[in-house]
Amino acid sequence: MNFSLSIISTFGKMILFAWECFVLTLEGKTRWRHVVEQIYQVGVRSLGTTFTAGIFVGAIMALQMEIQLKDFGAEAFLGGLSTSTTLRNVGPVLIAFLLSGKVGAYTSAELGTMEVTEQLNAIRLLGANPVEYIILPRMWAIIISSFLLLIVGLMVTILGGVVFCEMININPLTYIQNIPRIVTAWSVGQSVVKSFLFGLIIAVVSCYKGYYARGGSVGVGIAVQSCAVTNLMLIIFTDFFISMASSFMQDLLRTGYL
Amino acid sequence: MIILDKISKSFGSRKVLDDVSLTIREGESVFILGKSGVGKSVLLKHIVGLVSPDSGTVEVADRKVNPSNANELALIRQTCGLVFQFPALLDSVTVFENVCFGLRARDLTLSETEIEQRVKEKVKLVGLSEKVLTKYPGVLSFGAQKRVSIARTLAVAPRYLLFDEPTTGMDPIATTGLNQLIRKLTSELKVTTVVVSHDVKSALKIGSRIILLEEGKIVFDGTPEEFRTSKVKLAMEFQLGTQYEF
Repeated sequence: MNFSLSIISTFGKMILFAWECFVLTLEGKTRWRHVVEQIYQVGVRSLGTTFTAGIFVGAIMALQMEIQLKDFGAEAFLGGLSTSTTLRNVGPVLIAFLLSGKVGAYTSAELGTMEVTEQLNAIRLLGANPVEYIILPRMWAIIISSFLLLIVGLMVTILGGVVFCEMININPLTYIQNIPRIVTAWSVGQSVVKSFLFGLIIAVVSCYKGYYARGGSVGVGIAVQSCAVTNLMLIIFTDFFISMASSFMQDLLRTGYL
Repeated sequence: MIILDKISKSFGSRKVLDDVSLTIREGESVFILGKSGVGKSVLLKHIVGLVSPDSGTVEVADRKVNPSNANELALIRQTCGLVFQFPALLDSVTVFENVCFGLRARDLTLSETEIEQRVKEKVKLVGLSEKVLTKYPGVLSFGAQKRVSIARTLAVAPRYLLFDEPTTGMDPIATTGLNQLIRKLTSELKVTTVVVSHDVKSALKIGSRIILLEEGKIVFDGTPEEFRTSKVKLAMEFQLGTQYEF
């Protein structure tokens, strides 16, 4: 019971924290120059990792699909099925996991260290709001760069599938031509929505966990660990619910209720 | 004037401050001594509103620190400067940006030239060369970082200057320099200083008043002369500690 209450309470605090950041943004308190600096710190530096992950995720999905489709002699559908599954589900989740490990851990550790070494208190005493000065630029930078990295990563997964086709002597052109037959605007939209939400989750959770880290280096360790677990769980839950909602809405569309 | 009235504070089952009352008058140089973990730093944090008491009230410059809203707290903090035990400098920006942080944050409508002038003046005051201004805190020694931290606090010209263990990690020459600085701030600039420390020598040399904390209570409050002749056990222990140190 206490554990459940604690989870609900933390979740509520995270929403209030995100709301405070949102209100400060509406009040024009975001320092966009700092956001650009942070995009470089967290975004540009993650490009290589995202690119590598994207290639392999695409290749792995194509490999797995090819094994299954070969049994039915349906290799012609490889491009469409592989890309559709990657775009709608596997791609955003795996790349978001990777970003939560890289960007999320970096941010929560950095903010946690700032908190336990009293840097945030020093900012408060010098007359500034640490949420405005430190958190907002990081949060927006993570939201923007995670979203863009996820989109780039997803595009690279298609490239990964094509590269794999080259390796197993399937015509890459056939692979690509087959994509529009199965991948619909709905799949792409679902992937874009998930990319945005995953970016938002990573940003809010990482900043919240770092900002509220307490108790020296042990506290920072706990914050980073908790950030990783919370990010992964929320990404999985969100993925499930978005997929459910998407499937439900597609059914409604098919049956003419929408 | 800083007034703490019947302040009590507990962390879990541990009572750190127990019904502490204290009035610090303008221009005083108060040293708060006590063993580690008796609540000296917590006491300082109450003054600037970083910690709220479980009971009792804190008043700084005729304004109540608790309860207060964000705007009132900001006004109170404009009169106070706290130098933390560890430098607490922002790692990602240069020394210059650190020292001028408060000036920019408080929007004192200073021109860039005025800001630069004030930063250079404060850095010089704490005994550092202008060369450090372009460096990042991470490349400086602990002592130099601490001085930058003091310069950052002095830059916003506080009326009350609070030091939390200022000489920790500093060499004897730097300690003497800091003591001279505190004396100068009190005598020339009429700044009220409150220093939390273990350093009895400094307290006796430059403090105008010494307060001893033990188990969350004030067990001694008097002048350095009274401290020297005090029969309070902790006061005698502190003095013996200095007499027999190696």
